[in-house]
Amino acid sequence: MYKGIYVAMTGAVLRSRELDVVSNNLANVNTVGFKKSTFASRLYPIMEGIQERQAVVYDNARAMATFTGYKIDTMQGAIKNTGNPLDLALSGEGFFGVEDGKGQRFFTRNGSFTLNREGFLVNMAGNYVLDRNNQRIQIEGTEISISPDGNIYVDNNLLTQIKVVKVNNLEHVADSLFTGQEAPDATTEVLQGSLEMSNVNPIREMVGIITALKQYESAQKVIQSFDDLAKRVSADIARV
Amino acid sequence: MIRSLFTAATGMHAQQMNVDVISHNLANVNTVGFKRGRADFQDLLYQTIKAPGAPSGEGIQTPSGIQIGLGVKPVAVQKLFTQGDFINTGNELDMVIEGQGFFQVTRPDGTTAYTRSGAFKLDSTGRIVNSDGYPLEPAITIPADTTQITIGFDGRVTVLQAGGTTPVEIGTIEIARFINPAGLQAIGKNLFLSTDASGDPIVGQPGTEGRGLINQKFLEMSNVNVVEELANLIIAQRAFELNTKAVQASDEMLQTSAGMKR
Repeated sequence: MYKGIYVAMTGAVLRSRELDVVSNNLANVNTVGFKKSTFASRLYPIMEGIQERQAVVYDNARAMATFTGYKIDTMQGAIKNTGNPLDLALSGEGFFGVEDGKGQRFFTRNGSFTLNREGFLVNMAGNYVLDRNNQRIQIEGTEISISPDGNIYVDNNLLTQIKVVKVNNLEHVADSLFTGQEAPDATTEVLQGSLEMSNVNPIREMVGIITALKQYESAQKVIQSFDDLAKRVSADIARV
Repeated sequence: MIRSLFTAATGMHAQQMNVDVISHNLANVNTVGFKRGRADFQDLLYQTIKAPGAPSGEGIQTPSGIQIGLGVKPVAVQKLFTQGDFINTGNELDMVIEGQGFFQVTRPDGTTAYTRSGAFKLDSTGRIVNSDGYPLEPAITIPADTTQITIGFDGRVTVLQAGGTTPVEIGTIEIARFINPAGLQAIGKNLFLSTDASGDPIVGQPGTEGRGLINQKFLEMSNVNVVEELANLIIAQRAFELNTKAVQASDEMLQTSAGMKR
């Protein structure tokens, strides 16, 4: 009946999705190595393109907002000094490589590591941290020092170099892990005794909440207007 | 729609737990041998609405998909075994371990517990015990006529008895090291138990196999850094507040939807 009511509806649905994304960012405002998600919407593509074509299709076109600009923002988070020798932060674009017990590999920026009972370097969920040859790292010794280029020295002997790679086509997996295609990286520095905090900016997220909420309300007003219109048609115009 | 409500709730829950851990650290700022804890968080599951790499047109793939995260979860409260500050007490039975390792004490049920708190005392029979009366392991009994107790870096205990001039060796304090001390289970009273995660204790004389050295007449204070804990407390409280805003916003959105149909 009224095309517009559906257009407004798509807008409202998207704004609630936006609030979902913002809520997830805020929930992780204190999660080590978390990378926030950003969100953008745009018009449905049928309204774009060649003018003549638009004119032809316009009668049937249904403009609406779609969910397009979802992206993981890999901006650097703040570095916090902890003094714990197995806390590693990355400064730059790289990611640590980890693998689970079945050998499936992931990437992470959460460098809160520890040793397991066999002396393997693992993250808090027990996934093994990998070296540059994709081998698990076993540390036997007491004095562990890690240089900015990722070389691990145990009691002053070079053990191996920790894996730090760039990752393309990043995808969130959960548990602070990502998947994607790895690419070599030579510029990222490993900082021992530090952790990288979440890169969520609370101000930006609060503004996100406000815009999502207000636009949701606007969409609601539009829907109500269509409701009013429909009511007029059925109740007023028809009155004889 | 409701998703954001629960997502924000996970955030509030996580920050609440963070405050719990920080409060525990602050409460123990003056506890001998206390090791501070740290709550570690990870992001929860992601709901994939559009998979990355899905075709958006002929020969074109979307470079990134749409994934909506469902919040945060606590993954570990890690004990940080960094060295605490040493204070000189002058007391003969106060000891610190300089480096890695734990004193071993025998619990009433016969099992061994591990502690960094070296504030030992003597019981009525002359055994060296901790503040709760749990004897040091291996047990060392100080003779009744002892005038002076000396504990060496390597854990050897020698005493000078009344009337004597040559020190007599009466035993050696052994300490235990763990590959993964963060995996130890804290049971209160400054004690830890070994677990599957910590690995088995590597027991022996201080100063060997990576174990630390014993220093007599010193105590190791808590490794809690008050300034850092307070900064963490501020962050945790504000993060909690931010998440309540997301809950409120979700609530308002629901209200708006309910108001749509008059």
